[in-house]
Amino acid sequence: MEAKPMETQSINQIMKARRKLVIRRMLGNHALLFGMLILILFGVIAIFAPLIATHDPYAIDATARLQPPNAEHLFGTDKLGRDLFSRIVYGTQSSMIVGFSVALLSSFFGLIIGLYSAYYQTLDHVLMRIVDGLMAFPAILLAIAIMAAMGQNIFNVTIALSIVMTPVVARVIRSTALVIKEQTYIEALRALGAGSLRIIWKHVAPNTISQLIVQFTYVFAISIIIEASLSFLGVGIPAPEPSWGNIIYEGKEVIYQSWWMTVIPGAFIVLSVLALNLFGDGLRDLLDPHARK
Amino acid sequence: MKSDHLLQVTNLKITFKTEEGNLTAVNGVTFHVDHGEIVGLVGESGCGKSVTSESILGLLDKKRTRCEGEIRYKDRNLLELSEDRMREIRGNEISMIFQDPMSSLNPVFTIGDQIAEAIMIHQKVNRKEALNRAVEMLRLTGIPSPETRIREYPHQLSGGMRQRVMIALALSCRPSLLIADEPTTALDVTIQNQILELIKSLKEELNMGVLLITHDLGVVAETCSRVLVMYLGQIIEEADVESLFETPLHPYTQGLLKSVPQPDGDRGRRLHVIKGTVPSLDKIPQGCRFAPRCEYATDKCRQQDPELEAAGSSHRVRCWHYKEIMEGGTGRAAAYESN
Amino acid sequence: MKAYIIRRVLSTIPVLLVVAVVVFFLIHLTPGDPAAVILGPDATVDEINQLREEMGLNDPIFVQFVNWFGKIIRGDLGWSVYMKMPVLDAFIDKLGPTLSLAIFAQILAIVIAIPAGIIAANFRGTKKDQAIMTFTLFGISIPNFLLALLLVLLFAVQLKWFPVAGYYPLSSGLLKHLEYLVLPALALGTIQAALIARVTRASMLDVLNANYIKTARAKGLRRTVVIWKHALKNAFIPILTVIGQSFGQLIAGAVVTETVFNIPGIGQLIINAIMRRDFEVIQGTVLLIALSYVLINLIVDLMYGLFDPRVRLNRRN
Repeated sequence: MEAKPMETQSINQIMKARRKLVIRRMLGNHALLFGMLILILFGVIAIFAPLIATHDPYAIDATARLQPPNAEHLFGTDKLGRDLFSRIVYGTQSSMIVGFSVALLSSFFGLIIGLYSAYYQTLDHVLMRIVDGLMAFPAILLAIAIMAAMGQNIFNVTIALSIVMTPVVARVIRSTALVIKEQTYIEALRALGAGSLRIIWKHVAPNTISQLIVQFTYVFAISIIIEASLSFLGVGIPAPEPSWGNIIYEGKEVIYQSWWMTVIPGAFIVLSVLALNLFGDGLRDLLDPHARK
Repeated sequence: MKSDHLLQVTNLKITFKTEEGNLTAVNGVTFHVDHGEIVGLVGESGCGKSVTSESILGLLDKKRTRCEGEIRYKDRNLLELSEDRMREIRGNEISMIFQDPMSSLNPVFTIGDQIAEAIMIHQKVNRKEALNRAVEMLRLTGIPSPETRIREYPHQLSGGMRQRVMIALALSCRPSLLIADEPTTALDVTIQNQILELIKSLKEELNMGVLLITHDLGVVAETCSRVLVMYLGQIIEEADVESLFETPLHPYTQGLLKSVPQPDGDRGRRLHVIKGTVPSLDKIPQGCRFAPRCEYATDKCRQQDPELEAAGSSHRVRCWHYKEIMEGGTGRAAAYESN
Repeated sequence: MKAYIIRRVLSTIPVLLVVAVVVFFLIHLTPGDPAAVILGPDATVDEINQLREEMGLNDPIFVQFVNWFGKIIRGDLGWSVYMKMPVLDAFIDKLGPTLSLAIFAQILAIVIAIPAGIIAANFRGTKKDQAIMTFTLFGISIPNFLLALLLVLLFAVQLKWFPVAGYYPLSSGLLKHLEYLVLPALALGTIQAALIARVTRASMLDVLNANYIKTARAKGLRRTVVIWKHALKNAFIPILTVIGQSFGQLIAGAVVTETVFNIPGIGQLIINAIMRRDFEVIQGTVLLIALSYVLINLIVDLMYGLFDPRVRLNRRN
């Protein structure tokens, strides 16, 4: 009677100690921390955009054209006199929404496709051919083609990018699941009579979560880059909606005089993607014991 | 002081530099190997035997490890030699074979190329001559039709044959000293014997000294003339093979011998297990390193680290109480007291 | 080896089929009725329907697909409304500059990345490694249009070392041809170099941990030989894979880079087609690019046999 409560207590202690170890490792990993902080910053900017922006991002002011950064317009103005600070803040919102949605959708569908492909052979052959076929299209081109067909708006950008990114996630999840499937404990479960669905979702899936999270951050990062490129080409988020990419697009013609129109949104792009990459790298180091020395 | 041993290791100390501080993997190891003898180096994983053997050839990462002491090979201290000099010795005068022959051979080169490469570096011959010598070596190690084999790749051979190739590779330049790190551990039991016999006969032919590292006492009994037992970076017993098996003096050695299951023994009896586990290198116990797991440990054992002392003509042991343990009784009583 | 080649080539066929289906699907996503567009706003419903019959637009989807597929096989990828020429011809016409740019960028990337990755792996943990890793991190965090613009700002406008934009074909002389391609190739290539360097480093680290490297050292080989001969040949397969993939990304990246530098290649072709709603050009170009990507990957896969005898000789392992 005495032994049982003591046993559970020691299990709790072990788990608490483990959690502390993970947190300590996270804090020790400077890259991870830095990435996370920047991401939180961008998240805050995206969510509180209306409160942070100083002007109406669409407000045209012919008297204040192409001003360099000053007290009134923190990042200057564009050729229509619109405040760049506010436009870039709202651009943050667009990029974060697109990036996050694409990452979410492609992770969701990628997980399902990857898991089932790993488990059912015939389904695997069919799905993987489709995945290979989709991956033959360079992401940005497929997105361009879809947008050209479906019309240009933020919603279609998200759909197009999700279609492009899902195969990537699916492939990674599939490889991970294949490795897990070969583990002896899965065989043991099957010998005990566990059904396929149960094995897939209760046992294989949780072990793919760490890879999924890492892929999530990478898809997020790539989506930001592609969305910016699309907007830069004029086929992404349509003007006058602000996006980092189309601000740079508009800044291209005046790049020699008004270099800040290129550099500042550019810095935002690089910073957000860098943060995501650092976060993803750090997360992978944390979660994958093999990657460590 | 000139020594007439082929290999004389004196007070070898190997320290690893890690993020958590310096860890001493090998602490003051002294032993020697002569021509024509096979010396066994026995111990559990992590006792430092592989590290010791790799340090002889200077294969450890210089940036992360520090070696102190002396490794004398034919009057040269290997620890003081330049990298260029060491390279002349590696594969040429001292050779090494490793545990897993599949991963120890480069999968993208033919075995002929890999052996010829070793020959061409150390002996000034051209490729054709080197390949001929490679064929000879393969024949010597008992590989059938070596002329065709040299064009094959490692994955096309069986495990036993791959290990023969490794041996051929190691002996291609007729070294004086062979270091064999667990050469049979990754092989089937039936093949193990063949490989050991091969090593023994080649030792005779080339009059080599062999340092055989293993955790398998059966292998030791089969092949070695002398044995060194290592525990946690120290040699804790050293003897010729008969003495070690007949009268093991150190409790650890006794425990190891008792742990070997006897096929004709009493089936009903529980297997003997040395209690406790090997501590990690950052938590080396004070005093005798084996004390926490030793049934005879006294307070003296826990406070003072014993020296390696002579206990017979060629028998040395690192234990405060080996005499009492050998005579039986007193040691046991002491154990009950300290508990 | 032969069995491997045959298998690999055969497995390409379903992929090509999927590519065709995807493009066909894209075509049918396009809004508007092609017949109505051709006949103009004054056409009657009957006239439109008649043209639809003639064009086969009322046939079941599967039949339309087969017809379209048949045309593709014969090289008829459609007609460019604006350029008044077959899509295939327009593509071939504009291929030259893009190819030059892509090859230049790829060579640049490989030449920088592989040694960098090897050095990083060899000096793992040191300042050299950290510097290279930081550089590659930035490389994969910047979109290539931004890098292109920044390079122009720095090297063309400020330092005036290279021209700002423009393109000169090979016929105008090799040096001039290359001079105008340096900045675009740098913009494209740097990002690919970052990717390739990372994979090279990871692959080398994996290989350097292997036991056969210990054996090579125990034989008395020099460290340079161990790395460049024994390690690299084994590390090369994942590196080769990534190079194949990066070529596909280069073509895609060319779309953006050509816009910045005003290079008359495939990229410009697509962008102009989008502006002008020249749908057949977009679809045809995308199809051709996807096709070439599959082909390049096939070639890369077949090249594995060159590096890994396990692939060459049998399926074991």
